Amino acid sequence: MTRIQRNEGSETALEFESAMQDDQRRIAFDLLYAEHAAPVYRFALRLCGNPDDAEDLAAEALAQGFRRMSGFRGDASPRTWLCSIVLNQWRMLRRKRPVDDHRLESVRHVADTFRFEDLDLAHAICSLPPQLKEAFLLVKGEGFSHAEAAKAARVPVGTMYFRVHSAVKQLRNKLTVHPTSEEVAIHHEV
Amino acid sequence: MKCEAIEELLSRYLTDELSVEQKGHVQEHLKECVSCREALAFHRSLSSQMDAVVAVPSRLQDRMAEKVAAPRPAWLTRIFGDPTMKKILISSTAVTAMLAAAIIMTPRAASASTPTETFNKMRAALAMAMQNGELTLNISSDNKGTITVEGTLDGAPLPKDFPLLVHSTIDGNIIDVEVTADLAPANYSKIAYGKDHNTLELVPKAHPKTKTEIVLDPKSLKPKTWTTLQANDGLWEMVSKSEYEPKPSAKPAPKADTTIHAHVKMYVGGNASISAKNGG
Repeated sequence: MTRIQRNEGSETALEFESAMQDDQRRIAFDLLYAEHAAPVYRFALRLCGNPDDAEDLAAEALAQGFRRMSGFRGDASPRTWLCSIVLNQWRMLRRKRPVDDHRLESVRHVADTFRFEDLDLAHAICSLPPQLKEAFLLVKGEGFSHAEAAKAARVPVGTMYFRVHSAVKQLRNKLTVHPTSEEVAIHHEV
Repeated sequence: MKCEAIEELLSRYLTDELSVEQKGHVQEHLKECVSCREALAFHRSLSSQMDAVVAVPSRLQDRMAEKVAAPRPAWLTRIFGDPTMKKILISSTAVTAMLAAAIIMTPRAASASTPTETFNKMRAALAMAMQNGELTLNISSDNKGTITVEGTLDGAPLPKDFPLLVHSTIDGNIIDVEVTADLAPANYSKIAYGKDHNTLELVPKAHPKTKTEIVLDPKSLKPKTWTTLQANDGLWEMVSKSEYEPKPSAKPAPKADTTIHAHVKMYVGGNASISAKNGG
Protein backbone atom coordinates (compact mmCIF):
# COMPACT_ATOMS: atom_id res chain seq x y z
CA MET A 1 0.00 0.00 0.00
CA THR A 2 1.37 3.37 -0.92
CA ARG A 3 1.58 5.91 1.85
CA ILE A 4 0.89 9.33 0.43
CA GLN A 5 1.18 12.52 2.37
CA ARG A 6 -0.39 15.55 0.75
CA ASN A 7 -0.15 19.17 1.66
CA GLU A 8 -3.56 20.24 0.44
CA GLY A 9 -7.03 18.70 0.18
CA SER A 10 -5.61 15.49 1.55
CA GLU A 11 -8.87 13.75 2.47
CA THR A 12 -10.54 14.37 -0.89
CA ALA A 13 -7.36 13.45 -2.69
CA LEU A 14 -7.12 10.13 -0.86
CA GLU A 15 -10.74 9.28 -1.65
CA PHE A 16 -10.08 10.13 -5.27
CA GLU A 17 -6.92 8.01 -5.24
CA SER A 18 -8.80 5.05 -3.76
CA ALA A 19 -11.62 5.33 -6.32
CA MET A 20 -9.12 5.52 -9.14
CA GLN A 21 -7.35 2.40 -7.86
CA ASP A 22 -10.67 0.50 -7.61
CA ASP A 23 -11.63 1.56 -11.12
CA GLN A 24 -8.25 0.56 -12.48
CA ARG A 25 -8.50 -2.86 -10.84
CA ARG A 26 -11.97 -3.36 -12.28
CA ILE A 27 -10.81 -2.36 -15.76
CA ALA A 28 -7.77 -4.63 -15.50
CA PHE A 29 -10.00 -7.52 -14.35
CA ASP A 30 -12.45 -7.02 -17.24
CA LEU A 31 -9.64 -6.71 -19.78
CA LEU A 32 -7.92 -9.85 -18.59
CA TYR A 33 -11.17 -11.80 -18.68
CA ALA A 34 -12.29 -10.50 -22.09
CA GLU A 35 -8.92 -11.21 -23.68
CA HIS A 36 -7.98 -14.55 -22.17
CA ALA A 37 -10.96 -16.37 -20.64
CA ALA A 38 -11.97 -18.19 -23.85
CA PRO A 39 -8.55 -19.61 -24.84
CA VAL A 40 -7.67 -20.43 -21.24
CA TYR A 41 -10.96 -22.31 -20.72
CA ARG A 42 -10.57 -24.11 -24.08
CA PHE A 43 -7.06 -25.26 -23.14
CA ALA A 44 -8.27 -26.42 -19.71
CA LEU A 45 -11.25 -28.29 -21.15
CA ARG A 46 -9.12 -30.12 -23.72
CA LEU A 47 -6.63 -31.07 -21.01
CA CYS A 48 -9.10 -32.54 -18.53
CA GLY A 49 -12.19 -33.31 -20.66
CA ASN A 50 -14.45 -32.25 -17.80
CA PRO A 51 -16.29 -28.88 -17.91
CA ASP A 52 -16.43 -28.56 -14.10
CA ASP A 53 -12.71 -29.17 -13.64
CA ALA A 54 -11.96 -26.99 -16.66
CA GLU A 55 -13.98 -24.14 -15.21
CA ASP A 56 -12.15 -24.47 -11.91
CA LEU A 57 -8.72 -24.61 -13.58
CA ALA A 58 -9.50 -21.63 -15.81
CA ALA A 59 -10.95 -19.54 -12.95
CA GLU A 60 -7.92 -20.33 -10.78
CA ALA A 61 -5.46 -19.48 -13.58
CA LEU A 62 -7.21 -16.20 -14.41
CA ALA A 63 -7.45 -15.25 -10.73
CA GLN A 64 -3.78 -16.06 -10.15
CA GLY A 65 -2.91 -14.15 -13.32
CA PHE A 66 -4.86 -11.13 -12.08
CA ARG A 67 -3.32 -11.25 -8.60
CA ARG A 68 0.21 -11.60 -9.91
CA MET A 69 -0.20 -9.14 -12.78
CA SER A 70 2.13 -6.58 -11.22
CA GLY A 71 4.83 -9.26 -10.97
CA PHE A 72 4.46 -10.34 -14.59
CA ARG A 73 7.86 -9.75 -16.12
CA GLY A 74 6.84 -9.91 -19.75
CA ASP A 75 9.40 -12.54 -20.73
CA ALA A 76 6.53 -14.62 -22.12
CA SER A 77 3.15 -13.63 -23.56
CA PRO A 78 0.33 -13.30 -20.99
CA ARG A 79 -1.50 -16.23 -22.64
CA THR A 80 1.58 -18.46 -22.38
CA TRP A 81 1.84 -17.49 -18.74
CA LEU A 82 -1.85 -18.24 -18.05
CA CYS A 83 -1.66 -21.59 -19.86
CA SER A 84 1.40 -22.38 -17.79
CA ILE A 85 -0.70 -21.82 -14.64
CA VAL A 86 -3.49 -24.05 -16.02
CA LEU A 87 -0.95 -26.75 -16.77
CA ASN A 88 0.51 -26.58 -13.30
CA GLN A 89 -2.93 -26.76 -11.70
CA TRP A 90 -3.85 -29.71 -13.91
CA ARG A 91 -0.68 -31.59 -12.96
CA MET A 92 -1.49 -31.02 -9.28
CA LEU A 93 -5.06 -32.21 -9.83
CA ARG A 94 -3.80 -35.41 -11.44
CA ARG A 95 -1.54 -36.04 -8.46
CA LYS A 96 -4.37 -35.49 -5.98
CA ARG A 97 -6.89 -37.80 -7.62
CA PRO A 98 -7.05 -40.02 -10.69
CA VAL A 99 -8.46 -38.15 -13.68
CA ASP A 100 -10.27 -40.39 -16.13
CA ASP A 101 -10.05 -38.42 -19.35
CA HIS A 102 -10.61 -41.49 -21.58
CA ARG A 103 -14.35 -41.81 -20.84
CA LEU A 104 -16.75 -41.29 -23.71
CA GLU A 105 -18.21 -38.28 -21.92
CA SER A 106 -14.78 -36.64 -21.73
CA VAL A 107 -14.10 -37.51 -25.36
CA ARG A 108 -17.37 -35.83 -26.35
CA HIS A 109 -16.49 -32.66 -24.42
CA VAL A 110 -13.11 -32.52 -26.14
CA ALA A 111 -14.72 -33.14 -29.54
CA ASP A 112 -17.05 -30.19 -28.86
CA THR A 113 -14.03 -27.88 -28.81
CA PHE A 114 -13.13 -28.70 -32.43
CA ARG A 115 -14.16 -26.79 -35.49
CA PHE A 116 -15.98 -29.90 -36.77
CA GLU A 117 -17.04 -32.75 -34.52
CA ASP A 118 -14.54 -35.60 -34.75
CA LEU A 119 -14.86 -38.21 -32.00
CA ASP A 120 -11.98 -40.29 -33.38
CA LEU A 121 -9.57 -37.38 -33.16
CA ALA A 122 -10.86 -36.45 -29.69
CA HIS A 123 -10.45 -40.04 -28.52
CA ALA A 124 -6.94 -40.23 -29.97
CA ILE A 125 -5.97 -36.98 -28.20
CA CYS A 126 -7.50 -38.15 -24.89
CA SER A 127 -5.51 -41.40 -25.19
CA LEU A 128 -2.14 -39.66 -25.57
CA PRO A 129 0.27 -39.92 -22.63
CA PRO A 130 -0.13 -36.77 -20.47
CA GLN A 131 3.19 -35.19 -21.44
CA LEU A 132 2.54 -35.66 -25.16
CA LYS A 133 -1.02 -34.38 -24.77
CA GLU A 134 0.21 -31.23 -23.01
CA ALA A 135 2.77 -30.56 -25.74
CA PHE A 136 0.30 -31.25 -28.54
CA LEU A 137 -2.41 -29.03 -27.05
CA LEU A 138 -0.01 -26.14 -26.51
CA VAL A 139 1.42 -26.17 -30.03
CA LYS A 140 -1.36 -27.53 -32.24
CA GLY A 141 -4.27 -26.53 -30.02
CA GLU A 142 -3.24 -23.09 -28.83
CA GLY A 143 -0.93 -22.20 -31.70
CA PHE A 144 2.11 -21.51 -29.52
CA SER A 145 5.57 -21.82 -30.99
CA HIS A 146 7.58 -24.74 -29.65
CA ALA A 147 9.73 -22.27 -27.71
CA GLU A 148 6.68 -20.68 -26.04
CA ALA A 149 5.19 -24.09 -25.32
CA ALA A 150 8.47 -25.21 -23.74
CA LYS A 151 8.30 -22.19 -21.41
CA ALA A 152 4.69 -22.91 -20.49
CA ALA A 153 5.40 -26.60 -19.82
CA ARG A 154 8.75 -25.80 -18.17
CA VAL A 155 10.72 -28.24 -20.28
CA PRO A 156 13.73 -27.74 -22.57
CA VAL A 157 12.75 -26.70 -26.08
CA GLY A 158 14.34 -29.86 -27.54
CA THR A 159 12.04 -31.95 -25.36
CA MET A 160 9.08 -29.98 -26.70
CA TYR A 161 10.16 -30.69 -30.33
CA PHE A 162 10.30 -34.39 -29.52
CA ARG A 163 6.98 -34.49 -27.67
CA VAL A 164 5.03 -32.65 -30.37
CA HIS A 165 6.54 -34.84 -33.08
CA SER A 166 5.76 -38.01 -31.10
CA ALA A 167 2.19 -36.86 -30.36
CA VAL A 168 1.45 -36.11 -34.02
CA LYS A 169 3.00 -39.40 -35.08
CA GLN A 170 0.85 -41.34 -32.59
CA LEU A 171 -2.30 -39.53 -33.68
CA ARG A 172 -1.56 -40.22 -37.33
CA ASN A 173 -1.06 -43.90 -36.61
CA LYS A 174 -4.30 -44.11 -34.61
CA LEU A 175 -6.55 -42.23 -36.99
CA THR A 176 -7.76 -44.25 -39.90
CA VAL A 177 -8.77 -41.36 -42.14
CA HIS A 178 -5.85 -39.63 -43.75
CA PRO A 179 -6.09 -36.63 -46.07
CA THR A 180 -6.62 -37.47 -49.70
CA SER A 181 -4.03 -36.67 -52.34
CA GLU A 182 -6.24 -33.82 -53.54
CA GLU A 183 -6.26 -32.26 -50.07
CA VAL A 184 -2.49 -32.65 -49.97
CA ALA A 185 -2.21 -30.80 -53.28
CA ILE A 186 -4.50 -27.99 -52.03
CA HIS A 187 -2.49 -27.54 -48.84
CA HIS A 188 0.86 -27.79 -50.56
CA GLU A 189 2.11 -24.19 -50.38
CA VAL A 190 5.85 -24.24 -50.03
CA MET B 1 17.46 -35.95 -45.78
CA LYS B 2 15.30 -38.99 -45.11
CA CYS B 3 11.53 -38.80 -44.60
CA GLU B 4 11.77 -39.51 -40.86
CA ALA B 5 14.18 -36.59 -40.37
CA ILE B 6 11.96 -34.30 -42.45
CA GLU B 7 8.83 -35.32 -40.52
CA GLU B 8 10.55 -34.32 -37.29
CA LEU B 9 10.94 -30.83 -38.71
CA LEU B 10 7.41 -30.37 -40.07
CA SER B 11 5.83 -28.97 -36.92
CA ARG B 12 8.56 -26.36 -36.61
CA TYR B 13 8.32 -25.70 -40.35
CA LEU B 14 4.72 -24.62 -39.79
CA THR B 15 5.57 -22.45 -36.77
CA ASP B 16 8.50 -20.91 -38.67
CA GLU B 17 11.07 -22.04 -36.12
CA LEU B 18 13.56 -23.58 -38.57
CA SER B 19 16.83 -22.09 -39.75
CA VAL B 20 16.91 -20.88 -43.36
CA GLU B 21 19.00 -23.93 -44.25
CA GLN B 22 16.60 -26.40 -42.59
CA LYS B 23 13.62 -24.69 -44.21
CA GLY B 24 15.30 -25.03 -47.60
CA HIS B 25 15.90 -28.76 -47.06
CA VAL B 26 12.26 -29.27 -46.07
CA GLN B 27 10.94 -27.35 -49.06
CA GLU B 28 13.18 -29.25 -51.49
CA HIS B 29 12.14 -32.57 -49.99
CA LEU B 30 8.43 -31.73 -50.06
CA LYS B 31 8.60 -31.05 -53.80
CA GLU B 32 9.66 -34.63 -54.38
CA CYS B 33 7.97 -36.65 -51.60
CA VAL B 34 4.22 -37.38 -51.57
CA SER B 35 4.40 -39.11 -48.21
CA CYS B 36 5.88 -36.05 -46.46
CA ARG B 37 3.38 -33.78 -48.19
CA GLU B 38 0.65 -35.98 -46.69
CA ALA B 39 2.30 -35.68 -43.30
CA LEU B 40 2.40 -31.88 -43.68
CA ALA B 41 -1.27 -31.84 -44.68
CA PHE B 42 -2.04 -33.89 -41.56
CA HIS B 43 -0.29 -31.29 -39.38
CA ARG B 44 -2.28 -28.54 -41.07
CA SER B 45 -5.58 -30.38 -40.75
CA LEU B 46 -4.94 -30.84 -37.01
CA SER B 47 -4.19 -27.14 -36.45
CA SER B 48 -7.21 -26.15 -38.51
CA GLN B 49 -9.52 -28.51 -36.63
CA MET B 50 -8.26 -27.29 -33.25
CA ASP B 51 -8.55 -23.61 -34.15
CA ALA B 52 -12.12 -23.22 -32.92
CA VAL B 53 -13.86 -20.76 -30.64
CA VAL B 54 -15.21 -22.42 -27.50
CA ALA B 55 -18.15 -21.00 -25.57
CA VAL B 56 -17.16 -19.95 -22.07
CA PRO B 57 -19.54 -20.90 -19.21
CA SER B 58 -21.43 -17.83 -18.05
CA ARG B 59 -20.41 -18.33 -14.41
CA LEU B 60 -16.66 -18.41 -15.13
CA GLN B 61 -16.28 -14.67 -14.54
CA ASP B 62 -18.03 -14.91 -11.16
CA ARG B 63 -15.85 -17.85 -10.15
CA MET B 64 -12.75 -15.89 -11.16
CA ALA B 65 -13.96 -12.93 -9.06
CA GLU B 66 -14.61 -15.25 -6.08
CA LYS B 67 -11.10 -16.65 -6.32
CA VAL B 68 -9.59 -13.16 -6.59
CA ALA B 69 -11.51 -12.08 -3.49
CA ALA B 70 -10.83 -15.27 -1.49
CA PRO B 71 -7.88 -15.20 0.90
CA ARG B 72 -4.95 -17.09 -0.54
CA PRO B 73 -4.18 -20.37 1.20
CA ALA B 74 -1.08 -20.32 3.32
CA TRP B 75 2.02 -21.71 1.62
CA LEU B 76 2.07 -24.64 4.00
CA THR B 77 -1.51 -25.54 3.09
CA ARG B 78 -0.68 -25.33 -0.60
CA ILE B 79 2.41 -27.50 -0.24
CA PHE B 80 0.90 -30.07 2.10
CA GLY B 81 -2.23 -30.18 -0.05
CA ASP B 82 -0.09 -31.57 -2.85
CA PRO B 83 0.60 -35.28 -2.19
CA THR B 84 3.84 -35.33 -4.19
CA MET B 85 5.23 -32.32 -2.34
CA LYS B 86 4.24 -34.00 0.93
CA LYS B 87 6.20 -37.12 0.00
CA ILE B 88 9.20 -35.07 -1.10
CA LEU B 89 9.16 -33.08 2.13
CA ILE B 90 8.93 -36.18 4.32
CA SER B 91 11.57 -38.13 2.43
CA SER B 92 13.93 -35.17 2.32
CA THR B 93 13.78 -34.41 6.04
CA ALA B 94 16.68 -36.74 6.87
CA VAL B 95 18.78 -35.43 4.00
CA THR B 96 18.06 -31.84 5.06
CA ALA B 97 19.12 -32.59 8.62
CA MET B 98 22.39 -34.13 7.39
CA LEU B 99 23.05 -31.16 5.11
CA ALA B 100 22.35 -28.72 7.92
CA ALA B 101 24.81 -30.56 10.15
CA ALA B 102 27.42 -30.55 7.38
CA ILE B 103 26.99 -26.82 6.83
CA ILE B 104 27.30 -26.04 10.54
CA MET B 105 30.45 -28.16 10.87
CA THR B 106 32.16 -26.92 7.70
CA PRO B 107 34.17 -23.67 7.82
CA ARG B 108 32.45 -20.97 5.78
CA ALA B 109 33.73 -20.72 2.23
CA ALA B 110 33.93 -17.47 0.28
CA SER B 111 30.64 -16.18 -1.07
CA ALA B 112 29.57 -18.09 -4.16
CA SER B 113 27.43 -15.19 -5.46
CA THR B 114 28.36 -13.60 -8.76
CA PRO B 115 28.63 -9.79 -8.91
CA THR B 116 25.29 -9.65 -10.79
CA GLU B 117 23.61 -11.78 -8.11
CA THR B 118 24.97 -9.46 -5.43
CA PHE B 119 23.78 -6.47 -7.46
CA ASN B 120 20.29 -8.02 -7.69
CA LYS B 121 20.32 -8.61 -3.93
CA MET B 122 21.09 -4.92 -3.47
CA ARG B 123 18.13 -4.04 -5.75
CA ALA B 124 15.88 -6.27 -3.66
CA ALA B 125 17.19 -4.69 -0.46
CA LEU B 126 16.43 -1.22 -1.87
CA ALA B 127 12.91 -2.31 -2.83
CA MET B 128 12.41 -3.59 0.72
CA ALA B 129 13.85 -0.33 2.07
CA MET B 130 11.11 1.46 0.17
CA GLN B 131 8.46 -0.79 1.72
CA ASN B 132 9.93 -0.15 5.16
CA GLY B 133 9.98 3.61 4.66
CA GLU B 134 13.80 3.75 4.72
CA LEU B 135 13.83 4.85 1.07
CA THR B 136 11.46 7.70 0.25
CA LEU B 137 10.69 9.56 -2.94
CA ASN B 138 9.47 13.15 -2.70
CA ILE B 139 7.66 14.17 -5.84
CA SER B 140 6.65 17.75 -6.40
CA SER B 141 5.13 19.58 -9.30
CA ASP B 142 5.13 23.29 -10.08
CA ASN B 143 2.09 25.06 -11.51
CA LYS B 144 3.20 24.20 -15.06
CA GLY B 145 3.34 20.50 -14.23
CA THR B 146 7.14 20.22 -14.17
CA ILE B 147 8.03 17.30 -11.92
CA THR B 148 10.89 17.21 -9.44
CA VAL B 149 11.81 13.95 -7.73
CA GLU B 150 14.12 13.85 -4.76
CA GLY B 151 14.76 10.85 -2.59
CA THR B 152 16.34 9.84 0.66
CA LEU B 153 17.85 6.58 1.79
CA ASP B 154 18.27 6.00 5.52
CA GLY B 155 17.79 9.72 6.06
CA ALA B 156 20.46 10.92 3.59
CA PRO B 157 19.80 12.19 0.03
CA LEU B 158 19.96 9.63 -2.75
CA PRO B 159 23.07 9.82 -4.96
CA LYS B 160 22.77 12.42 -7.74
CA ASP B 161 23.22 9.73 -10.39
CA PHE B 162 20.76 7.27 -8.80
CA PRO B 163 18.92 6.13 -11.94
CA LEU B 164 15.29 7.22 -11.57
CA LEU B 165 13.02 7.20 -14.62
CA VAL B 166 10.15 9.65 -14.29
CA HIS B 167 7.14 9.54 -16.56
CA SER B 168 4.25 11.97 -16.12
CA THR B 169 1.01 12.83 -17.88
CA ILE B 170 -1.35 15.71 -17.12
CA ASP B 171 -5.11 15.46 -17.33
CA GLY B 172 -6.70 18.76 -16.30
CA ASN B 173 -5.36 19.61 -12.88
CA ILE B 174 -4.42 16.02 -12.09
CA ILE B 175 -0.93 14.85 -12.84
CA ASP B 176 -0.10 11.15 -13.07
CA VAL B 177 3.50 10.35 -12.17
CA GLU B 178 5.34 7.06 -12.47
CA VAL B 179 8.82 6.69 -11.02
CA THR B 180 10.94 3.62 -11.61
CA ALA B 181 14.42 2.90 -10.37
CA ASP B 182 16.16 1.90 -13.58
CA LEU B 183 18.60 -0.52 -11.98
CA ALA B 184 18.28 -3.41 -14.44
CA PRO B 185 21.59 -5.31 -14.87
CA ALA B 186 21.13 -5.00 -18.65
CA ASN B 187 21.74 -1.24 -18.32
CA TYR B 188 25.33 -1.82 -17.27
CA SER B 189 28.20 -2.87 -19.50
CA LYS B 190 30.16 -4.00 -16.45
CA ILE B 191 29.09 -5.33 -13.05
CA ALA B 192 32.10 -6.52 -11.10
CA TYR B 193 33.40 -6.85 -7.58
CA GLY B 194 35.79 -4.13 -6.43
CA LYS B 195 38.33 -4.59 -3.68
CA ASP B 196 36.12 -7.20 -1.97
CA HIS B 197 32.76 -8.92 -2.33
CA ASN B 198 31.03 -6.06 -0.54
CA THR B 199 32.12 -3.56 -3.20
CA LEU B 200 30.45 -3.41 -6.58
CA GLU B 201 31.79 -1.57 -9.61
CA LEU B 202 29.24 -0.60 -12.24
CA VAL B 203 29.78 0.99 -15.65
CA PRO B 204 26.51 2.24 -17.18
CA LYS B 205 26.06 1.52 -20.87
CA ALA B 206 24.71 5.04 -21.38
CA HIS B 207 27.79 6.66 -19.80
CA PRO B 208 30.80 4.42 -20.48
CA LYS B 209 33.23 7.03 -19.15
CA THR B 210 31.71 7.00 -15.70
CA LYS B 211 31.91 4.35 -13.01
CA THR B 212 29.95 3.84 -9.82
CA GLU B 213 31.52 2.17 -6.81
CA ILE B 214 29.04 0.94 -4.23
CA VAL B 215 30.15 -0.40 -0.88
CA LEU B 216 27.39 -2.59 0.53
CA ASP B 217 26.48 -3.16 4.11
CA PRO B 218 27.03 -6.95 4.43
CA LYS B 219 23.98 -7.41 6.69
CA SER B 220 21.29 -5.33 4.99
CA LEU B 221 22.90 -5.35 1.49
CA LYS B 222 21.98 -1.69 1.19
CA PRO B 223 24.61 0.83 0.03
CA LYS B 224 26.92 2.24 2.69
CA THR B 225 28.69 4.48 0.20
CA TRP B 226 27.86 5.33 -3.39
CA THR B 227 30.75 6.95 -5.26
CA THR B 228 30.58 8.22 -8.80
CA LEU B 229 33.84 8.51 -10.75
CA GLN B 230 34.63 9.91 -14.17
CA ALA B 231 37.49 8.97 -16.50
CA ASN B 232 39.88 11.83 -17.16
CA ASP B 233 43.07 11.20 -19.14
CA GLY B 234 43.11 7.57 -18.07
CA LEU B 235 42.53 8.35 -14.39
CA TRP B 236 39.32 8.02 -12.39
CA GLU B 237 38.28 11.27 -10.71
CA MET B 238 35.65 11.31 -8.01
CA VAL B 239 32.54 13.30 -9.01
CA SER B 240 30.35 12.69 -5.96
CA LYS B 241 30.13 10.48 -2.91
CA SER B 242 27.08 9.72 -0.78
CA GLU B 243 27.30 7.94 2.56
CA TYR B 244 24.60 6.06 4.46
CA GLU B 245 24.16 4.34 7.76
CA PRO B 246 22.02 1.32 6.86
CA LYS B 247 19.83 -0.17 9.56
CA PRO B 248 18.98 -3.87 9.32
CA SER B 249 15.56 -4.43 7.75
CA ALA B 250 12.85 -5.91 9.96
CA LYS B 251 11.45 -7.97 7.09
CA PRO B 252 13.32 -10.45 4.89
CA ALA B 253 14.40 -9.25 1.44
CA PRO B 254 11.93 -9.97 -1.38
CA LYS B 255 12.84 -11.97 -4.49
CA ALA B 256 15.90 -10.64 -6.26
CA ASP B 257 14.17 -9.35 -9.39
CA THR B 258 11.96 -6.91 -7.45
CA THR B 259 12.18 -3.36 -8.71
CA ILE B 260 11.30 0.00 -7.22
CA HIS B 261 8.27 1.35 -8.98
CA ALA B 262 5.99 4.06 -7.65
CA HIS B 263 2.84 5.44 -9.19
CA VAL B 264 0.97 8.44 -7.86
CA LYS B 265 -1.72 10.84 -8.99
CA MET B 266 -1.48 14.35 -7.60
CA TYR B 267 -2.72 17.86 -8.20
CA VAL B 268 -0.64 20.14 -10.43
CA GLY B 269 1.35 22.32 -8.06
CA GLY B 270 1.06 19.77 -5.22
CA ASN B 271 3.55 17.31 -3.85
CA ALA B 272 3.61 13.76 -2.51
CA SER B 273 5.97 11.69 -0.46
CA ILE B 274 6.07 8.00 -1.30
CA SER B 275 7.66 5.60 1.08
CA ALA B 276 6.25 2.24 0.05
CA LYS B 277 6.67 -0.02 -2.94
CA ASN B 278 3.72 0.28 -5.26
CA GLY B 279 4.04 -2.42 -7.90
CA GLY B 280 6.73 -3.94 -10.13
